[in-house]
Amino acid sequence: MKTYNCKPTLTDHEIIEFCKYGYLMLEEVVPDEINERVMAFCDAHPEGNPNDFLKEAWFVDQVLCNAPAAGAVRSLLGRDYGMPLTISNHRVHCPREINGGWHCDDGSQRAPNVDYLQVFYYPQATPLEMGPTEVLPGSHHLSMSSHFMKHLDSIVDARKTAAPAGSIFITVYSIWHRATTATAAGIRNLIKYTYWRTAAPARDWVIDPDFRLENADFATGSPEPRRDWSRVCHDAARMYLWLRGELNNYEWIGGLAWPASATAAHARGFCPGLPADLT
Amino acid sequence: MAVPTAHLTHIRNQLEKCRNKLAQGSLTRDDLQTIIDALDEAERHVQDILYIQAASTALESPVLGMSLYANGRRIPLPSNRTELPYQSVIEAMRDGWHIISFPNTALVMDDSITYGLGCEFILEK
Repeated sequence: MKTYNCKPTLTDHEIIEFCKYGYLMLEEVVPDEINERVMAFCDAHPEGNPNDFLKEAWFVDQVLCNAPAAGAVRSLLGRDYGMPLTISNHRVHCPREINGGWHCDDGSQRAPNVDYLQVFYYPQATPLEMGPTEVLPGSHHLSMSSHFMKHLDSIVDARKTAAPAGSIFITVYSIWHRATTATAAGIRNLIKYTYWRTAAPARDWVIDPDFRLENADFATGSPEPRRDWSRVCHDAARMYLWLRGELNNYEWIGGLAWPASATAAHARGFCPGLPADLT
Repeated sequence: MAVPTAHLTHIRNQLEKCRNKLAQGSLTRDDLQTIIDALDEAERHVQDILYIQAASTALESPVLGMSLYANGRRIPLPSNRTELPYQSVIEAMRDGWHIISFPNTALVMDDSITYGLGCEFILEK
């Protein structure tokens, strides 16, 4: 497996946002000339797994090693992360109607581990009319087999990833997602691939000197969460501490202790539940 | 899809009438339309199903998700909460929906493992 290394670009705050919501959108990060070249390559290789992309240096350099995306992947997976082994293209002829279709990809686990990342790349403008992928923020913390999601349809707070050409979005592998109805005509390409962790998890990203763990906000801010607020905060904090390689220092004591009431507790100068020796 | 026996009998009678009229050379467009109308009527008697995922087991709790099958087909719904046809289970009940399944609390006895999307009610018309 080929590996890659670069400078991390995400801060603690951005890492925590990823732990909370399970995805990160980077709009228009791939140049237009590369997007056009990718589109032409897709036309010439219309199969579902156009792995010949991996032999193209321009694709590897400009897409798989795209600086903003690679910096985010590097932040989440650590140094010398493994490059994609296969490339998929969800190439669809529009218009098409989609009802239901929610799923998480095969092999999904609800663990705090982030050992691989699922990445989507739109080489063309993908507005709502072209049926962008819809994701359910925070669903990587929800346990449910895809077989028991098939009746689901409209989900409040789900997000359609409509985006300009050259956009890349990075997700926790287990996030719930689905294709959506496309009302426009034409072919839509959506390139999908996976990066792999090779290094042990560590706080190896951009360190904000003002960051304080006791002040970190792990709540999603949803007015009517699907789960208890403390559980939402706990799951996000657990994933964040796993990424830091410090999960063993954390024991959730429940109640309104950290991480559920981090900001309020710190304001009073007392933070029960805060992992010892961590900042 | 299951069609009630009474509707099948009605459609069969209409077809037999048309067969006789065809033999007599008197079959008209309106005769065939009566069969189409009878099929439409039968279709309307397919059980409609409404899934509602709610924030809690209370009937008044806000909707988190919704799926609707009407006339044997899945009906697309908006994902914006305010555009959904009902904001709670009780609103759907006031519109004539009957609950046929309550959230299965046996699935959520272990709070450390969170299952699924809220509390699911299944209703029918």
